[in-house]
Amino acid sequence: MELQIDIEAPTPVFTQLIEQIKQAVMKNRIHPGDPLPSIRQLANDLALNNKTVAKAYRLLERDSVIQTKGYRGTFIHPDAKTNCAVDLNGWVIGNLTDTIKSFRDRGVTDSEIRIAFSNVMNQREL
Amino acid sequence: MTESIIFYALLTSQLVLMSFYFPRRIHQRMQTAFYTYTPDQYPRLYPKPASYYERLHQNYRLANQLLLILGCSVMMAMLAIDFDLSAKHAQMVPWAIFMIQMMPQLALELAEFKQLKLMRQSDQRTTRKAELSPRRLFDIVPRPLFTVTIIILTVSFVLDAFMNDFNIGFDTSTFYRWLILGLGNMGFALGAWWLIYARKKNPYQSGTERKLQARANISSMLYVSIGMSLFVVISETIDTYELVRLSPAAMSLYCQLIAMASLSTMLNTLRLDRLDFEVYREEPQSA
Repeated sequence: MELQIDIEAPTPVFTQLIEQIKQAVMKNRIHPGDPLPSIRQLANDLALNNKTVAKAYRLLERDSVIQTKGYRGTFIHPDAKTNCAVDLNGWVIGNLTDTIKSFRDRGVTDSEIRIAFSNVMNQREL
Repeated sequence: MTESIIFYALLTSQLVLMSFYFPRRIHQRMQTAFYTYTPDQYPRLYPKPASYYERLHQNYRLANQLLLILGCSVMMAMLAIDFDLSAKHAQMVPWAIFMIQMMPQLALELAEFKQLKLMRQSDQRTTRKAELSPRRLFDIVPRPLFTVTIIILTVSFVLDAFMNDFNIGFDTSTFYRWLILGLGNMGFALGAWWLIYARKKNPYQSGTERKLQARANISSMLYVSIGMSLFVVISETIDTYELVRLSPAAMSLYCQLIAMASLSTMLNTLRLDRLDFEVYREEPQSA
């Protein structure tokens, strides 16, 4: 199984990595329990910064597509195939759409929504 | 007399092996690659003009021929002056000859590094590929070879100490031999790590081919490590039993074993028919 990234593509490199690993799981090209290369190895092979690969792995781990087992390395999660189908981004967009629609229905202007959104996002204790 | 015959026979073998046999095989390999995978059809493999490679091949061959003549002359001179095999540092003579014989090889390695650097610089592709599987030491190196190397290294440490009545203080020769062996093997370990995990030098090399190259390099390092360990045991035996006149012969044999372990492993593992040259063809221009 081989990964291929395009450094000039409009999609960020870490997103390309996430999508390709998820696709590989969905298409049964990699299976639960299969080991993945270390962050350093993948970053060296793709001539990328370690942080880029680490970000992709962190997000995949958050989505329970992969799991890190300490010094033994990183593996495909046992429920990876089910978890790949979960579209967190779609869920966020759906919720935000409903919320913004309810604000507009009550007469809140777009600029007021933007300012309020920005203020909430900047709250440190959130 | 017997020691002299053994020494000169081994020195002749060293001269032939290092300045004729291996250079001839390497030259033939370079020529086959150059004329089978030509610069016209495989431009990515040749970042410099074709004439540069022809000159490089010629110079390599010429350098080895000159070194063979030089080596034979040195051997004749040693015979003429009736070289004392028990002289202090006599064993360094075959070592020095070996180091000089390795010069063209070293030059070739440096040329390869420059070549790979130019290949990286001229690589205009925006896509990059990587295998989605971890590279591990034992996926690359045969486990029995690794185990044997460690066992022989341990045995050589213990035997060396045993022959010196376990006198291993900082000022003893045993300590220095341990240090040299330890540092040498640490160097090999670092080299193996670099081969397995570092950024690849050839931008067109596939994952499979990289593993093959790492296997060839690491295996040759393990063979050299075995040779080093055995040499320590043999030289210690020579010292213990006062067979000092055999030291130069032992050194020559050691040099040849090192050369065979490294060059022969590389040449046999990285055969041209096992390498994928298609990646060096020019990509078709999109309309």
